[in-house]
Amino acid sequence: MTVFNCYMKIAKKNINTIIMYFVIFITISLAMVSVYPDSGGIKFTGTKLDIGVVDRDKSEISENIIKYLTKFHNVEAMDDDIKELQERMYYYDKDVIIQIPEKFAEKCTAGETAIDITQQPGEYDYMYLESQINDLMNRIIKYNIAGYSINESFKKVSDTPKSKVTLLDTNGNNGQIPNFAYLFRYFPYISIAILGNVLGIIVCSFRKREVKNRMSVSAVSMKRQSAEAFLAFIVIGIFIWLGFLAVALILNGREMSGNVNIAYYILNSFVVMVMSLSIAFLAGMLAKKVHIVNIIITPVSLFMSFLGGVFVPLSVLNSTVRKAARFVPVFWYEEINDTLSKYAKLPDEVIREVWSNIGIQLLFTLMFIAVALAVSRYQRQER
Amino acid sequence: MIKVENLVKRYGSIVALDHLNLEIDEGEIFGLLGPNGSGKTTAISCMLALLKYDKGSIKIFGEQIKPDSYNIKRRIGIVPQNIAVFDELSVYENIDYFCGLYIKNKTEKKKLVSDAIEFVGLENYTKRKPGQLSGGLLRRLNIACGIVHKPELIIMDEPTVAVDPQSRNKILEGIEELNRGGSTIIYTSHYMEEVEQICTKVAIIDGGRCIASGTNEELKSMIKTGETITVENIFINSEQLTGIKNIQHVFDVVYKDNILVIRCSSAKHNLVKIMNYMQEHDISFGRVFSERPTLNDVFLEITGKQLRD
Repeated sequence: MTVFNCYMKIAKKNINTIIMYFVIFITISLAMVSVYPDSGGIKFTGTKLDIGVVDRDKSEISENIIKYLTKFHNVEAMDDDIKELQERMYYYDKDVIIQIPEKFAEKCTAGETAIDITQQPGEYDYMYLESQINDLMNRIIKYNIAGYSINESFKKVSDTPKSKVTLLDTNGNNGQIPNFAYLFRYFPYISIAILGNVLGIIVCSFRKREVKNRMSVSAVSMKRQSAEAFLAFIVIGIFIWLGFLAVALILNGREMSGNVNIAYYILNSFVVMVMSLSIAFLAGMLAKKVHIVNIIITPVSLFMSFLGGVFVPLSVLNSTVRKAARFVPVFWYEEINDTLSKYAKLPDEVIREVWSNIGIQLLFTLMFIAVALAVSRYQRQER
Repeated sequence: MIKVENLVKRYGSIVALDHLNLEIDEGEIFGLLGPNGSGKTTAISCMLALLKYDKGSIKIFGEQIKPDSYNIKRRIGIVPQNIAVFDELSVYENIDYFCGLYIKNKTEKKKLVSDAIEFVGLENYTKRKPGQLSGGLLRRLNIACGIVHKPELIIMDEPTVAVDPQSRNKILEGIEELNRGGSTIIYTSHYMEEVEQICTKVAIIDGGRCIASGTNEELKSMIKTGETITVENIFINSEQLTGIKNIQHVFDVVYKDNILVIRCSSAKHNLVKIMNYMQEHDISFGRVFSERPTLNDVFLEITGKQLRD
């Protein structure tokens, strides 16, 4: 196992590269998990504004409006003193000042905008308040036209039950994306970067003409040398893949073990690891010198990751980019990853889609290997 | 040990080896001498089954060599012209790796590796990577990787190219020592001094053909030149030049830039006769020296061109 051991020895000398990429991976993953703590998207809560009200109308309707706003905001009745109003606003004592003019009820029924809302320049809370008041007034006017008195209309509006949002949980996962899905999303990047840099360098070293000749005239057959090299590829690939799974388990072990799709996640990551091996092989074949490997792998891993949806979710990509991304194997990996994160239990047609995407990744793998072998053949003929 | 018969190798329309014939016996240091591009490396590559040849046969240890002749390859060590080591591995790891391609037993391998390191004098550099070694030390590492498994036949392709004199001497001494240890060595070079110094038998190759072969003395006896006398800072006229040409055994005289080069056939007292002539004709001169013919003279007389053209 001389050739196999040599692969391992050179790979061990690149342990710093492996650690560096794993640190990047863990850092990004932890950052992502902290950005999306509940994985359910962004939550919004209502805000109570400090509102000052100048009621010049003193009517039934204006009093009801103030009463209504008091349910949602901190409302203070204020004197009709322009200087004081300006001062309170200047010192941010009040977020918004509302002035209800005289004969407000008449103007309102005539369809005129009557309430004057004032706020500091550059602030936009008034829009929220304005829509609240508009909504209230529309509903009151509708009740009023229907024959209810102002007081009755207000009562009807106040008694309307709050609308309730029900999530249609068609996928059975409560609309939640599991945290570990983010870890799996980043795996193609570290897989291509680590395996490409480590194995690409080794392939390039073994391809040096003089080394190759020296090995060709040795007592170990070429078949055996190739078999040992292949074994080393698989072992190093599996080592990196298991390392990734270990990190994922440490960070999200409980969630992973409880997910019914975990086997598909693991299978998908294994396939992308095999695809990364083929890229490493191709990079090693293309690079004439060892340092060229890094020059090839760094842009390739970043390009595939950006286009394939590693750094930017596929849902954010526009349709043109998505069309182009179909020519990148990572895209098909991320498609599976996204699908798995959306479903708690996979329907049959989705399972078929998952397998077809895995097949596409394997076709890409075969294509990279075929190109690498063609390059190797061309180089032999060139000599 | 090696028999090459009528070997022909073509690269398209270029004939790299043109019916090459060689015979190398066990225990020899066999020199393949020829200018750059003469076909030395191609011949070596064919012998090692690295290149397919168009015609002829190559037998090593009595068997036809093929790409899968692993039993023959096991007994051969190769030191290629360019450095063939892994830049990522240390000196020790490189030698250990190439030894591992021949030797499976760990204890035996360890001993052979340390013997090879000692042999090339790299004991103080075992942990260094090739990139941290000088050109001479790199050449020594290259040799160690080729000889570590103590092969019966060692093929060295220009192992002293771009090497400092100290390392060159060390390498040449090492080759003689390997030969004393029982290895047969094929040594290719375009440095005739090296070939003359260490080789017991030499084949001169030009244009893919073996134009002469034999021991140094046999090769030198094939040519007319027996002695070359050079006189520096000499001032002579055409009459005196003709006089020198007419001295017995002198067959060629060249006078240029006040340097006189006289070629004589092999005979006694050539130098004395020329010195007497110059004294009699009151010719003033500087340094005088006489040289025995070199392999370069052999090459020059046979091909009409210098070995390093």
